[in-house]
Amino acid sequence: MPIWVFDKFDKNIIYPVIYNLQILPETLMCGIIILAIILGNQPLVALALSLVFTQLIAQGIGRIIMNIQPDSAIARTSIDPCSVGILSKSWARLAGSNPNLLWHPMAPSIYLSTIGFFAGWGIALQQIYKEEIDSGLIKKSSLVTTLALGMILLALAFAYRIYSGCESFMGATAGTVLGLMFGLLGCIALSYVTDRKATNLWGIPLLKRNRSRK
Amino acid sequence: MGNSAEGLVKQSALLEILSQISKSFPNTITATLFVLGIMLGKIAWICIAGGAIVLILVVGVFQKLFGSLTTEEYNVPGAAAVSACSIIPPNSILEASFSNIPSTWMSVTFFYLTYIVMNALTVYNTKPTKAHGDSITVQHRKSMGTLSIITTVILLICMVFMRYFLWGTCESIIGTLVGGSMGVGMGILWWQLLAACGPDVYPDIHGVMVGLKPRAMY
Repeated sequence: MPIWVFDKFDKNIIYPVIYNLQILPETLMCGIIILAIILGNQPLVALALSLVFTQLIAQGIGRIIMNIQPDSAIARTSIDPCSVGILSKSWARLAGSNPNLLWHPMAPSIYLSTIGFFAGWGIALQQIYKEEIDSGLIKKSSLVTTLALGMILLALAFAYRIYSGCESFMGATAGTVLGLMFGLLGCIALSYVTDRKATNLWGIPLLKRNRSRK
Repeated sequence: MGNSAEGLVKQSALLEILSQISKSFPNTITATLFVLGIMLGKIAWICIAGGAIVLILVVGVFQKLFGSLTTEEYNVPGAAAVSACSIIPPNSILEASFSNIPSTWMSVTFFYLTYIVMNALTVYNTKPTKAHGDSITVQHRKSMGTLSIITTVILLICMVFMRYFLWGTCESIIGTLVGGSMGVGMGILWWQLLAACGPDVYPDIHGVMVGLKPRAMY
């Protein structure tokens, strides 16, 4: 196969995928807010707020670790490919803080806590709406497939961050576990408090509520 | 003095945020729909993102064809122009050039506009099998459809206005018209295609049509 085919493939397929992997958390955060506005979707607003809360917790834990072990903290410049983003540096300047980011190898990864959060939320959804799924309102096979793909995506993001040297194994694992836990427990707690309304991203009719109406 | 310098920094940061949101809008929405579709089991979102990816590929082919037929005047040369206009920053600035006929940004933006409005109209007009037309849930769904149409149109008009007038060199009138037409056509075509595969599941970006199935109570 001629070299130009590989060159085109690399330029038009591989590079956009890697670029999107680099900026994924910010893209998702920005995208959820835009989608929540244009679709008028309340569960998406709840999801975005829960994600902000998770990111704040991950940042807070990171700050505490940096205060305990300040010598291990590393300053990343605004052109570092590990901290590349579409909005974060401008947001930091708007908030009046230094856009250069401090990174600690032991601190939980904000990147992976974000991806883990969505994976956890997806797992929780399948548990919360189990009765509706079993009744055939949504195809179970497609949900299992997307769940498996979601886990592969999480593993891919984990491997990418470790391989590119952007995270330590400890930080990546801590971030993933934190995100999964907050996504899972956050979704379950929110569904419990709101009678499963605020987490109903699929828009499916709730069978238990219908039964209680009868 | 200090305050005005600080104000200037904040003003430029705010402009940076707005310009980044506008510039990367098609990529942001496509990546979000695709990744969240996988993570949260929203099949409709994966299908819609698939449509946008197909459109980007088709537009890329048209750009190559148009570029080979015409002179360089329709390509915006230089790394600065590419980094200012391109949805994804260039991999290598040495071979960078930006083609805007047909415009990728306009075509994908109009694709989403058309798709969302088409689905919102369906959400508004479809009647459930059991519930009464004046029930609270039906009214809720109708108001959701109306709100979605209004917000989508307003947001996307603002986005297109910013892209076309504030980033004047990034778009041309021909590229906008051809790209916009391709986006509208693809939006209608893709929605019809997905609706033919399963009207309650695949085209429903709003995620409310499954509630209209005969078994649903609202």
